[in-house]
Amino acid sequence: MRFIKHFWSYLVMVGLIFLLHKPMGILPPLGRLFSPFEGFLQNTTNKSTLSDQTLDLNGVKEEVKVIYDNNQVPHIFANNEDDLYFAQGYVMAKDRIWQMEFYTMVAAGRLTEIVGERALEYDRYNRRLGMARAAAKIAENLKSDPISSKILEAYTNGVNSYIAQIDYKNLPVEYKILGYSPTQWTPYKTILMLMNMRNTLNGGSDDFRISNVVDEYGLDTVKDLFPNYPAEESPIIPVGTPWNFKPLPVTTPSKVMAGKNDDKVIVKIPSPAPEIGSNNWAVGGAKSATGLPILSNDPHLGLTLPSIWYQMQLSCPTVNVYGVALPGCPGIVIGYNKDIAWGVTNVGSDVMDFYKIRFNNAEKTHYMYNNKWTPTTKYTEEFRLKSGKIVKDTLIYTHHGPVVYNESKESNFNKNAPAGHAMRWIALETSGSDLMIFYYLNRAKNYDDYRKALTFYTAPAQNFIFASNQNDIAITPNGKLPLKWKEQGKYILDGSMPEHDWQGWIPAEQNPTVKNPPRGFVSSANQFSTDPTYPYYLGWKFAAPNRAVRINERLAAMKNANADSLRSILNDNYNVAARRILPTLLPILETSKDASIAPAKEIMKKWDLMNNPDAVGATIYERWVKELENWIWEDEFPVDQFMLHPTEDRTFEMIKKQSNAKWFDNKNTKDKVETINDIVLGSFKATIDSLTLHNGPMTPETWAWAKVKNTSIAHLGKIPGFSRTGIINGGGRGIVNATSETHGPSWRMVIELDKEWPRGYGLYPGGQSGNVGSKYYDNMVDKWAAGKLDTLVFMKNKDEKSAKLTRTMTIKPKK
Amino acid sequence: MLYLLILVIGGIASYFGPWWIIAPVALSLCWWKAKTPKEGYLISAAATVSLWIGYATFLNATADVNLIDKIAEMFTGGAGFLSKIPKIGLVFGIITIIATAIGGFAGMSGVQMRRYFK
Repeated sequence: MRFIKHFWSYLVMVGLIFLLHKPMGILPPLGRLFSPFEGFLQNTTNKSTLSDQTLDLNGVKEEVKVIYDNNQVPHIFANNEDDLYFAQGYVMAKDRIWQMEFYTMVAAGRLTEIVGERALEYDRYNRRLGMARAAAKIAENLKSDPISSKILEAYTNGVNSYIAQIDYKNLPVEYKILGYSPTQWTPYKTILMLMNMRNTLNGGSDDFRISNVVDEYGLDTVKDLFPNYPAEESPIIPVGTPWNFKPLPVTTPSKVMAGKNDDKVIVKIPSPAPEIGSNNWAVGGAKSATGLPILSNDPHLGLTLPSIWYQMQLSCPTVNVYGVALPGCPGIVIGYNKDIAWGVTNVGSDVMDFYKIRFNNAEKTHYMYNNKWTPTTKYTEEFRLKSGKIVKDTLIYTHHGPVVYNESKESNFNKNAPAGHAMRWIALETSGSDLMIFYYLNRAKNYDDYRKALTFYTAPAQNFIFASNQNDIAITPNGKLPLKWKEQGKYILDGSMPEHDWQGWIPAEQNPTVKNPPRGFVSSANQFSTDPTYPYYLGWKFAAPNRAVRINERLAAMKNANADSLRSILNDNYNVAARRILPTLLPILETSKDASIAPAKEIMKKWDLMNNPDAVGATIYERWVKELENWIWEDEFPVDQFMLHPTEDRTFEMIKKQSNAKWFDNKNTKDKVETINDIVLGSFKATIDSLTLHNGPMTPETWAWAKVKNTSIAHLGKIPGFSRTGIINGGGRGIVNATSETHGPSWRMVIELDKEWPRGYGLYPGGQSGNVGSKYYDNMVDKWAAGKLDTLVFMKNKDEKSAKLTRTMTIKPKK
Repeated sequence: MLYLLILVIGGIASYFGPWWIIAPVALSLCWWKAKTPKEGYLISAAATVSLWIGYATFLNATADVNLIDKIAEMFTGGAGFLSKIPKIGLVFGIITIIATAIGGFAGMSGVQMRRYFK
């Protein structure tokens, strides 16, 4: 008793320290986080944080200068390549280590370790996709690639050198909140980061949804409503470009899809995201004021803080390049050097296919292939939860790839033999080294160097655009493209038929490409790579042609272009889709006598088709066209039953040319047959009602497009308070200025090539620092929203003087 | 005097040591100087709160970005009633509660343990 009397306060104190030192459930470690000596307040920055610095580090051979400009962009000057990539790893980790590691945890399906059980399903899905296993294999392969392994090793050492010296006080605040610390970087983690990009850009499929439509309505309906080429298109390779090669033969089997399913197959594979896309274009010298090309690129991705991009200059005796890098990856991904500039947009061809698999027994030890029972391979996956608990999952592989879905019910194949779906996916291709394309592009001097660089690339296939100061422009949808028969993989394939395997690869030199076309410019906006004359099948659905049509119209009309003319296209808010469909819809609206929609009708009639920030017409159009599409298709093709809606192109064609189509009838109303007029008017009224409900009565302020769209840049880990919302800008889905609610231009760049020294302009919606306590966390956001660009500081050498250079970090070899 | 000792020695120790180092500092100083458990609790809590709030105020005042508001939003995002409290009040409130509890019980236990051994 005496002991308790004298020690109870001590025990309370120790207990409190213990409890407040570690996270509890969703609560962060409160004591540690709120202590001003160690916690989040240590992440605040001020002028003194950004001053000259000298570091003595193990791992560099010679002195490296890192000169920061006033936007905190590092310009790294090294005397050799090893030191260059070491320093790149070091400075990137200094600004972005939490983000770098977070991406790898996502791709590896390990988020449960840092956020707990709520991430389990997401992790399970990512593990079933097989990204971690493929990344490990690629990392292993790259050990025998002399250049890749050298860069990766140097970069990894740089990152680890930073991790080794970081103490708790200086940890990014996200680590403090979630209660963990960074672990050693490895080349495998860099590949995991690239896996993330493969998944973001190629990780969607509509195969299940369209197969469900075939099961419900038959193949003829699908051929009518889901055609293989849109009615309106402006393909990347200009129509009429000759194909100067002899194509490989491809044989189409008599059976082109797996057998019918009893029920709709519900597989939660996301659709290809319509907002993941990009623009790039280059005008040749004939169209520019200087007589030399100008190139522009804006990749559209999910908008996040910290940003997906990190600006930097890399310079050593063998390379001098400026551009943006991916956090976690060595080299520059989009950028320019003295002689050339390049950029990328996503190709979006069909590179994720599903095969229905017939197993021999409930244990799934074998599956039927080529009339033989073939053994499966099994892996046990372990998920470590934050609490320390382990959850296990079994992953089954066939020769196609991982089985991402197992039917829990008895299958229609055989009562005792369960079915599943295996996935063949380009992201799991382990050959080649994607890093090498960037290595060679960073050093490229001319068109031939560009063509050579392209041969090293696997996935995700990108439209690599190019311009040089020798007055060449070019574009190539590039990457490993599977050789397929026409429509192969449009529907679920039969995993037992060898004829349904991918047939090989389109020879790299036969990938579509064009150099210096007669029209004087090249461009891409994720539309069809080619018209249907291209001898190979790439996919049946690409991004809607709207952005491409507008870009090509503007570039065709452009003369004496300069960087600002190209910047104005980046910010173009013209709505091509509205131009196409409103002349048909507005006369139908005119037939309505409903006074409640009259004011909105007047707005629509007067709208100039620009998705400008203050445009009420844009708000009504954007919401209406979505509503209209649902009114037409949702009764026959319900999304919640995993059915696919026809594309906007097909929908518009039907509205314009098949006004009596049976699909306008709402089959859920038994006693009435709806006409196109009923659907158009009904959806318009529903749109106005919904907008009024959510935004109040229509006024120029409350219904302004920017207000309703509410573009937001969310924190990568979804920490409230670390995000930016309510950004005022125009654009939208299908607009060249592709800024939607959550997605948009993640980097905007315009480069004027020059014989002497190029002029670069660019910025991204974020900031160089990953530290939410720094003013460089989101300092570019407002300028980005206003459509402006920064003049980029591309230094000729480390001794160049500029008023924009603010401080130097000198890295010396440790003695 | 005790208050100043905890403030100064605790401040130096906290600058270099882990966040909870204030607890053993306050415990030792109260063992030595405090007369009653109540005095130990109050003086030690007051010194710890002064130290933490003082340093937090300094860091916040010299910072480029108001990180306190962002951290506060992390807590108020899900609960409506919390968003009515001024953000800096919420964060300083949490700091005060933690500093009071850790510092207070440390000071109190210093006196109580001294009495056990004497």
